[in-house]
Amino acid sequence: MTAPAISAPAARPRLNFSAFEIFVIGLVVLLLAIAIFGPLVAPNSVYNSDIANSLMPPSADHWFGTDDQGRDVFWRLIVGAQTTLLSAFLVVTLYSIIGVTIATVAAAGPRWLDEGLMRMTDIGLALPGMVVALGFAAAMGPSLQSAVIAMAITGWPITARMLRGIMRQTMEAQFVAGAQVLGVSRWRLMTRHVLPNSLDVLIVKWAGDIGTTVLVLASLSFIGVGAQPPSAEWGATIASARGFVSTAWWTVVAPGAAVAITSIAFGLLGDIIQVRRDPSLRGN
Amino acid sequence: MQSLFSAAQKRRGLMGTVGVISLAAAIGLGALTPAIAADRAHTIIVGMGGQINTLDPLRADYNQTNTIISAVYDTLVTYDETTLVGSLATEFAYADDAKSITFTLRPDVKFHDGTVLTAKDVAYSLDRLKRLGTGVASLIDGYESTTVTDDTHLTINLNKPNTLFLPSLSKIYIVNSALVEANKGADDGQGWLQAHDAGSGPYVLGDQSQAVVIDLFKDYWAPEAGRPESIVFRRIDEGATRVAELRAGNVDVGFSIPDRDAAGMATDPSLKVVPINTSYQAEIVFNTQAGPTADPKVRQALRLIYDYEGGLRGIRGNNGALANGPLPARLNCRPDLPVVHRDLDQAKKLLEEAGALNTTFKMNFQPVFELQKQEATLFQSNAREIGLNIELEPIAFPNYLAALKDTATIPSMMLLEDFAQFPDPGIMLIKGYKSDAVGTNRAGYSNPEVDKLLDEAVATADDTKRCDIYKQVQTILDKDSVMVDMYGVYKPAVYRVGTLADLKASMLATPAEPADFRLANP
Amino acid sequence: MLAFRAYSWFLARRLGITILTLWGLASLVFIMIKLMPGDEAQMAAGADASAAQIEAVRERLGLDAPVIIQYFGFLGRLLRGDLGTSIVTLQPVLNDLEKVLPSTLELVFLAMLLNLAIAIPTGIVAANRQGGVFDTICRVTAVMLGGMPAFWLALVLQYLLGSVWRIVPISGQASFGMAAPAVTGATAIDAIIALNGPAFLDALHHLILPAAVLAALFATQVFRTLRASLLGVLRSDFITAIRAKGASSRRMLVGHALPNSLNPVLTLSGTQAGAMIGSAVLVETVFARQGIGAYMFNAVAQKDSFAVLGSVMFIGSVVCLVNLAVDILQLLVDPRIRAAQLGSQSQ
Repeated sequence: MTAPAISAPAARPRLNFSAFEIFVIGLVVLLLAIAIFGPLVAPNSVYNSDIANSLMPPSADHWFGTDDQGRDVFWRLIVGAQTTLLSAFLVVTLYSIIGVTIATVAAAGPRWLDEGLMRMTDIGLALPGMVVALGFAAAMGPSLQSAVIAMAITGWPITARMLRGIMRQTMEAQFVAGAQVLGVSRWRLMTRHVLPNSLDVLIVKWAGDIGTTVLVLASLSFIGVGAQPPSAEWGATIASARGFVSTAWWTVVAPGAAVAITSIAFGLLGDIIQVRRDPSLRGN
Repeated sequence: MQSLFSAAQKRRGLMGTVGVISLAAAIGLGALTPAIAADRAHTIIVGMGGQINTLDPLRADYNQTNTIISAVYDTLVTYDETTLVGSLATEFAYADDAKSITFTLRPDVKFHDGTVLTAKDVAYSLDRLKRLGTGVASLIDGYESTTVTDDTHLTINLNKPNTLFLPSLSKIYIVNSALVEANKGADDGQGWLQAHDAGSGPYVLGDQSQAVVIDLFKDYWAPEAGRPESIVFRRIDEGATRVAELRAGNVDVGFSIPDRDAAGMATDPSLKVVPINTSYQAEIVFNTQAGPTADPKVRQALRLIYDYEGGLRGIRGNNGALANGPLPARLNCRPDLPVVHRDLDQAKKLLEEAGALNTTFKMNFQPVFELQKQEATLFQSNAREIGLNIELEPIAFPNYLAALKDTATIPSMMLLEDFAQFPDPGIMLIKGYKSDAVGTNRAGYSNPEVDKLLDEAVATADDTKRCDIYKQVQTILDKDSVMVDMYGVYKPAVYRVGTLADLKASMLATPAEPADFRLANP
Repeated sequence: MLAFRAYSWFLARRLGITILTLWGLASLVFIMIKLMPGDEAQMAAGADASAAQIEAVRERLGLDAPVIIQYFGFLGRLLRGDLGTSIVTLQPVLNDLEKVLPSTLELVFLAMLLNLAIAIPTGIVAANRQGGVFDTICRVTAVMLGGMPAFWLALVLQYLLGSVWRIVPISGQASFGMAAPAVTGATAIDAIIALNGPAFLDALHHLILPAAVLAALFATQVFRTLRASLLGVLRSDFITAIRAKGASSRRMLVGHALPNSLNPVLTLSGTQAGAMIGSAVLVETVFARQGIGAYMFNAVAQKDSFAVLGSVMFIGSVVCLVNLAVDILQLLVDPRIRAAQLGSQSQ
């Protein structure tokens, strides 16, 4: 990870976007819009069962067909976007905050504190998120809440370690030494100069992480330790439809595609931000 | 740098070499090593869902356990359809006061280790259940002791008259006392019996590394022609995967096939679909003592909410019949009760009268059963139509059993598929609705009139009179709305044509007893 | 020899950190046990244990003592290998886990093999012909695959490849009658031990789809990392110098650029190994394979709390040890790390 160009003032962002970038950003905005406004525009019937019409293939009435309870798959996806994306945002924001805090304290503080916090981070890294989520489900009962908490708890170590590495590197840079000689306190240095530049990297990670978190949340719901039925969360939807792969493929393909598209879109967003920040990475 | 170059290359080279060598070895040695001895033509592979926790006969109350051990162990008596007949016991009779039963055993029964089954093994099995007090021990309520007269004669002593005790013995498997005693450890053999065989039945426990395999026992006392040499129980939780493996021929018999798939397979000439009509009934049991469902009006109202016809057709694929009463249709001694139909207006009215329209109800269900998940969701959606809010909460079966210990923890609504442990209405009524049957009384039901009637029933040797009493009790239960009786369920089982001769439904070990399998081409 | 002393110092330090991490993990699990609502003795004895049985368990676990004594008792039991007893199978959790661990290990091993075998060559070729058709196709595929949920991919591929086209088995670990005598419980490993060719091939046949699905996501990460790293190295001065010297393109690529770009890939693979073990549960449930993921999943469904927490401890430890192994491997392979690590010892 190269040290960000902190010595120079931030370059003016280029305002002409390529077609590809516009497409990705547009997609992300669309997804966010769906997540925010979706449940408001969805017809009420999406919450009710209509067994007579269950597992109908896609048609003019039901663009993505109906599921095993007769609900419209398309509108359920729209409604489920809110739960899925909101939870993902919550998880990533939570662990980013925790990670930044710990990284800041570790980088700014004395060596022993740094070592201690980094050892804690190592322990955190040793726990696969899926496993901890299962553990929490055992303790607290399976629910979306326990999945969110479990993921927030296992997500911060990577962020913390990454940021702390950058911050330490920055602290060792020439201009910092110069500032210290001038009497600027370590803490002020940290918050005024190092932190804002490191957040650059964080934004990139944050965007990409939304994508992977949507994936992991869906996975947890799939195995039954995340959102429970009849939640329209996308993973739970795939879980309910898993028996119908051969008889009603649209019930499985539609939510899976939704998860994939969301995950890819946010991942690409992260890449775009990264390239804009550091054009030398173009071509990645 | 030079050394690195070779290190990197070395690593990849090594990986490649290992891969090539193992592949060559596999192909080369493959020609020499014979295939593992197993006769596919005389083996039946069963695909069933759910974890097989243990093979201890103590836990014959777990469905998966019971299916397997019904072929590995024997019981004193058994059922032929709905008639009680002797198995290990050739003669049995109640004493006049119905407080003891005398048995005469067959003298020629051998355990799988060669020793002879005698009366002391029966005594040991019963005493062990009494000591442990869990699992099927709940079926031998009132058991006091066994008097062993000689190797083939014994008397079971009860501490109160109980005409239900004899039928209950159809679920009590007899273990090899010497073997279990030698391996009892600190938990009375539970740990050992989890994976070991102490039985005398037609099959012996075999390999358990990939799937549970049982092999034919050559010295069984009641040999039958046409039994498979081996039966393999493959655990496949996903219904769709069971179907796929059936079609591909990797599984011969599939239990609990999703109704939709069964409908699709009915037209396939290589598969035979058998709707297993035993004693399964889908129902939602209320907590009649505590919580918002303690009010009979509320319960009555909730019975009017569900879309019975829609559920039966849409979720069960019409594999079943609407229920009329708390007991499954295939049992005897049932009164002629009316079928409940949906009536949302009446339901709303009753709920308003009870002041419960704004209450949030909670319903538990077992998430491993896909159809129950769908039914719970349907009920929730039906309730929403009159503005009633029902929360769904998953629960695993062992936890549900534990919650039954205390009326405060009994789920206020529990969706389940109930079935009779054996085809006697008494067992369901007494275990289910007597106020002192803590742990099996799913509704927390307590009605002195019902208690009195049931006490009378177990002390009555006259079958007709007992039958009448059972009918009366069911009528009371129905009036009290102890449950939402949804429909009797015929669970489709499917087998490949040419493997089994046919598939017989079993009321004792649903859906079918492996000991009843007969090969199509023996 | 100086190098030997430096090596062993590093090793000791790394081991120390691992032990510290394991201790931290154990403490975390202890906290989770204490946080569980309800009576701990009741949970350990089983949902329908009698009062006497519960008291017996309370005594055995020493639950009446002050928390700090319990903590040390807990650590002591862990050191003896006592991870608790499952309430449904009534076996020690460690025994249950040992039975199913080899199956997960063979799955993860094959997945890691596929991961590196596919990602590294494609990464090299893509970086070498940056901007070309191959490169674009690979990058698009990587983006697509990376965003797909593994279990969804598993369901769809299981249906297409298993049920419809019948080229791989649908579920399970071995075909009927093909399994070698069970030594470890992992079909491929047992087949190797028994030197049984057909059984090994059969086991591989059952492993290939689950492993491929598991590897997909991780392969995309390795691909992107290697490609980025290689691109960076290819632009560097030292490569330009070697090119100027007239070294052939292939020799330069494989002999000089590649070794210097492998470092981040190695680091990544190390963390991936742990993540793979964690993600195995998704694949194991869809393909009806036994493994620690499936075991843990069942334990959660049946509220077998001690089995769950025992599994957390176990899996966490396995991941720790894998990380340690990767670190040592990295040390042996990359001189820059060697220098950095050993150099730092002399501070």
